[in-house]
Amino acid sequence: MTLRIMSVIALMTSLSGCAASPLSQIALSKMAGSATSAATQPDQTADQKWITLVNRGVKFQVAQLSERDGVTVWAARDGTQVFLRGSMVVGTRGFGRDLMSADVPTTPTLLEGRAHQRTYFDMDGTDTMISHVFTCTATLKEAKDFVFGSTHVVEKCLGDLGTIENTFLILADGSVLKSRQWISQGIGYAAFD
Amino acid sequence: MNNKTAAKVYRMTKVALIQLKASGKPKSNLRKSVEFIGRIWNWRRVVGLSCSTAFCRFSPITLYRQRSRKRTVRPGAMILCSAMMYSLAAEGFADIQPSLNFSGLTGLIDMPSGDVQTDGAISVSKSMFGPVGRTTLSFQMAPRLSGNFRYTGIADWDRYDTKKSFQTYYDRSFDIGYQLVKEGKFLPSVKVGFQDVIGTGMFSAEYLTASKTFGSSIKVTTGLGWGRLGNFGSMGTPFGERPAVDVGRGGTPRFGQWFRGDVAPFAGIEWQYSPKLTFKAEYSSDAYSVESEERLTFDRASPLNFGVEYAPKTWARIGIYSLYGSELGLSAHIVLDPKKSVTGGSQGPGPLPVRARTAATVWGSGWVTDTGAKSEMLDDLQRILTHDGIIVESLDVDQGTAQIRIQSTKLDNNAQALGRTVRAMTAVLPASIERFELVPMSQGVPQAKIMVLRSDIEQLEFAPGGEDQLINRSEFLDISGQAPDSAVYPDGLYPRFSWNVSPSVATSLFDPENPLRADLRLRARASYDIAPGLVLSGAIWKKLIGNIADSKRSSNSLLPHVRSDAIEYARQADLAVGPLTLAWYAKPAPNLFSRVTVGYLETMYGGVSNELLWQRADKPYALGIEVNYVRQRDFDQVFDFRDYSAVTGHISGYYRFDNGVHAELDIGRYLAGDFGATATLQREFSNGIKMGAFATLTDVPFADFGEGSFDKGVFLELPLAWIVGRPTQKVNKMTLRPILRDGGARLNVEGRLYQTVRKYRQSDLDAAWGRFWR
Repeated sequence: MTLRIMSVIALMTSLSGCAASPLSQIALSKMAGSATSAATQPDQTADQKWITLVNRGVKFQVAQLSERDGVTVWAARDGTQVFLRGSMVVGTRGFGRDLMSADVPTTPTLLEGRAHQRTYFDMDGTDTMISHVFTCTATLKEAKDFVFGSTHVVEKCLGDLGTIENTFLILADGSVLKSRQWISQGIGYAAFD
Repeated sequence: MNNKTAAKVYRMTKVALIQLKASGKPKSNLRKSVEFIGRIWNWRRVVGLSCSTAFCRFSPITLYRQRSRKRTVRPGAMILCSAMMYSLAAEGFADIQPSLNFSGLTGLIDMPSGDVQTDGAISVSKSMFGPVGRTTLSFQMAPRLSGNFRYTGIADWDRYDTKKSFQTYYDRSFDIGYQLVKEGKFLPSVKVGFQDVIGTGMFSAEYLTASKTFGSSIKVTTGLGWGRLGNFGSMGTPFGERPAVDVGRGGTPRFGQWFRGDVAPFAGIEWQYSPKLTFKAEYSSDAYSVESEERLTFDRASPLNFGVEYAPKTWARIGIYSLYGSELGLSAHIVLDPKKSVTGGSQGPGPLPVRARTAATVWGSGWVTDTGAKSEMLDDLQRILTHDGIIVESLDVDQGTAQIRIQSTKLDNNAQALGRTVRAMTAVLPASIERFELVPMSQGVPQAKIMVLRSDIEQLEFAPGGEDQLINRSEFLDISGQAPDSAVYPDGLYPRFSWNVSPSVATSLFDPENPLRADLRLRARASYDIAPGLVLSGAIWKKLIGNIADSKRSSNSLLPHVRSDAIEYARQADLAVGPLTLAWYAKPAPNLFSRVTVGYLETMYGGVSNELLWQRADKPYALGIEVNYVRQRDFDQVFDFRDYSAVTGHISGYYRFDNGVHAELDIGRYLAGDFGATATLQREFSNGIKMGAFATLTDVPFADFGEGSFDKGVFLELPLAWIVGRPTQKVNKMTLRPILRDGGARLNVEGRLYQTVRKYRQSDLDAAWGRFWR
């Protein structure tokens, strides 16, 4: 990635009568983007959970920042955010090529094993909104290795981007203990503990 | 076409040729065309190809029969046949990454192909073999339309020339290509192209080329070339002789040359061994007559070229080649796709979540008339928005409506700045306020008024596809220059002083002795916002090191030297001032914007510049008028002036089409006193990347204009945010002109209205609206 950025900068400096040094501008930009607003930082005592971005190999802790209309906003220390409706990811902010919004099934829908649809809204490289519709089926089996009565759900979805597979470990009371969900083209899969 | 039919056509063509020959009449274009068809058929027979349905079959018997015949096209045909043979085993249609050739065109090694790059792709190519070096900047301007601007240098040019005119011959050229047919299951991609269309004509050529993918890794290209690409292995002149080129002048399209003169076939094959490794072989129809035969800069021993290319990334490719049987070649290409962010998209902290009214700040009773409460609201809003670089310039609230005037100084996306603002308003403003009026400001002037309902914000924050629903429910309204009387303002906003010191680079391109000259400067800039709309700003710079002043170029222009003394300005300036201006921006009517700028307006001119712009926020078009009285500054760029002065100005029309194409037409009087018009066409992407071209035609005759005939060029704008993935409003701009002369020259005054005002009109915000909730 750094090589690519440097290539672009080299391109610009070599071909343009540019007004200022891009290198100095990058330095300034990084400084400006390094802090987060106090208003977007969660309370120290807020609920916390771990998220792993599987494709990026990154694991980090998030804390609850807000909850409204059934959607909980979880924020990391660097200000990036993940939106969960129940246990389903419906948005991210700050990861680059974020999931802007999503139409997702509820946990009962998954447990019923019915065919359903998922719709993801993300942005392409030009910040133009694009949607991806997936047709999904859920397969259930008892997860004996975990808590008694829990259910292991594998949700397979087929859409314009190919096939994605989400997995959920759902407890008897309907809550999700663990999950691995596809987020967007730019982020890939995320695991929630 | 089956073999019987093909044979019949061949016989009929041959009979027609014999009859024409027997008639003894001078060769007409019709006759040449018939001969041309016949030669193509002969060429086809030579290589032993007979067509059956959509694919060709290889005939070893026919090939054997032809072995004793000497045909200049045969090696290329052999390659073609080999490729065809392979393809029979791996028939199909696959997506092989289209690569670039030595000229920066989508193609093989030195020949073009029928492919095109991804829509919007911007590429830079550097290639060299023997004495030939090329640097090309290319744009895929539309899905089928591409353009290339190339700078070519040929070393050892005057090794055997007693005149010793050039050590290295440098030349600029501009190409256009259009894909006629996209590749399908059976059809090849077909492209027509024009090289060096308005340059000196030294490299001018036209071509028609087709490429077909076979299996998952083979792509075969064949084509016909005219001009430079038709001077080896010629099959004749089907459309008449090619008129001679007036190399000295250039600058105008040479329509009369197109597809005239000798035509010759070329062909080649690409084998994509893996996504990173590609092998290429081609038969070239470029004889390099001038380079190898006249100037003896290298020995063109063979028409066959071979190479291998390595692509470590999808956007980078390097290659090594054997060229023309005698030279080693190297190439490097960078291809940027504006639709794929370099850093993977917008990064950085997320926004403040929308707050439910029940959780919003409670202000008690009487806040509607309490100026203190309103000021507190403004302060609270400013505290939240400071992090995003948003300045609250005023706030007015009543029982149901809040109007906030903001200036965004950091975020690169204006819709995102509006989104951050409404989030803050939900957190701060009393629950009874339902109507949010957002007024973005620039230079103290309101640019537009966007009205959104708070209940829509609450409802759509997490709604799937809520962005589209929100913009459909938003309204773009007229706005006057003054905030309501009951508005409150932050303390200490005016006067406001800012400054910065930074290095800068000035360049001088395309000097025949040294094509890239540059000066490194240290520049200090300061701005003093005296009151809303009234700005005193200036810059001073000092040259640190550079070689622009070393140029021996001097102006030979027949017109007043309004731009062509640029080297003299670089030579004499050391500690220079500029620009140094007092500007007044205003909004005299709801849809009317104005600017008056006085002072040292730019490097070469000082004076007065006046501008009026009419634009409605809900319309994609605008009209403007600009009138300037300027006087030429002294070469040292301190405070003195030269004798030349001019009244210059334009009437301008602007239109943004739905597909991201933007057009501008400026008609008026230019710096040298010439009258004419400048047409500008640009492709824009929602992330701020722009690419385009412009041309100016005035009443200055081409001969008086001098080299280049008229002013023209291409430009590219890359937002730094797209490169680094972090919010910044810095934009890297570059304009490339083949040559800068005095005809069609415009004043370069800062702060022109349209580029600022258009950012907040509906059509431009629509395009960037995806980041409203970012």
